[in-house]
Amino acid sequence: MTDDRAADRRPTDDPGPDRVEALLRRAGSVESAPPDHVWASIRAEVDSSVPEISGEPASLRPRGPRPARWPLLAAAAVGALVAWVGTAVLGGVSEDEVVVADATLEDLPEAGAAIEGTAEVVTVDGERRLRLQLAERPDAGEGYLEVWLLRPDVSGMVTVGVISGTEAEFALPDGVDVSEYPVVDISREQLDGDPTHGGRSVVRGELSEASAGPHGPPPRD
Amino acid sequence: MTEAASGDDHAIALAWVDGEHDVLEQVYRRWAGLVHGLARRAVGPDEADDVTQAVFVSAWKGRTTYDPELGPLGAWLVGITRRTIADHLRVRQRQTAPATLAAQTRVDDAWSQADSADLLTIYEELERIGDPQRRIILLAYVEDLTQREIAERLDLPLGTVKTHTNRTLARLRTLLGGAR
Repeated sequence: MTDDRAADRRPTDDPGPDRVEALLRRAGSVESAPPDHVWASIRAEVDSSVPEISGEPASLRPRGPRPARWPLLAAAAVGALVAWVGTAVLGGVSEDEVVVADATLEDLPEAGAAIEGTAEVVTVDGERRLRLQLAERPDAGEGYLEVWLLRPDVSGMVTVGVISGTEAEFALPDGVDVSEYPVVDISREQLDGDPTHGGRSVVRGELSEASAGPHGPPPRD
Repeated sequence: MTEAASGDDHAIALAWVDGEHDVLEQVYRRWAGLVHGLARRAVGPDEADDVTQAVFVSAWKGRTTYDPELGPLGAWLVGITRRTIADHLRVRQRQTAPATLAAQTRVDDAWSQADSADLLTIYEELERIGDPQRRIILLAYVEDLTQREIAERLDLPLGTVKTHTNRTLARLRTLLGGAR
């Protein structure tokens, strides 16, 4: 601001007795509601720091409100509150099946119902498999339920498959590092041809790395 | 959630700390007007939108750094507003392009950087002090009510209103006079 000094006739190190009053009076009623697009942009920007898996750049200027993304962000925040319980075992397991990681799954507020479950990553004959067991099947609405592995900050995700009942087992693609994508997430998806995460997570939990411990599940035989 | 829905600032602050999932919207509804209004006076109406957006985005990203022990959420947000505006003005100052000057002329010319900075300091402190002091000061100097009218409006003894006015003004004057 080039005209600062000129405009600000009263030096700030000498506020004068009535500077507070004068500023308050001059400012008048300060509150001014921002236009609606500001809130839309905040939502979009907060969301765009979340998953950008669809090839969209993490743009600072979203094309418009993307409400579908919001629940995913919300889910990310809630997911952080879930208490991770699972530990898995390395020793004392059968030779052909090893639990390498597991998680307890908890429902997210969007699910509307308390659904819990467990997730395990097991290796069976050298192949890694993600095994899910839910207490009940989440409501898929008019669409279907898709299983994902997410980074903890939801900065990236890998699709694993579709779950249609309360149990499912998926082969994990080679090269997917479960310690990088430890969050098991089940989302409600629309049959709209869009392969990206629809933003409506219903169940989530974080896999913890296998390590033998007193609270680990019993060895599998 | 029902607690926070009552609109009580303290309840909103607790929900904020807990990271409840719709709390950003609540916080926005409660304080966006103040943040935007202060930004307007500092950077003009157009850029005020950008500043408001930046304030709430950084508040959300940095929400774990908010400590309710250190003060009310409103004061914390005005603090973020002050820093965001300062950053904004720094960037603007670095740009000497004519476009920037044109943007500047849209700012109410009477509001110098020093004035808007002081205004932010005042509002940050008012949020920190809270009611009824904050209300009293605003009624007196923004709505131009007499001390007696304020006493009636807030159902407080006249003496209390006068004491609050004088003490709060003294505190604000000290803030503007010192540490700068």
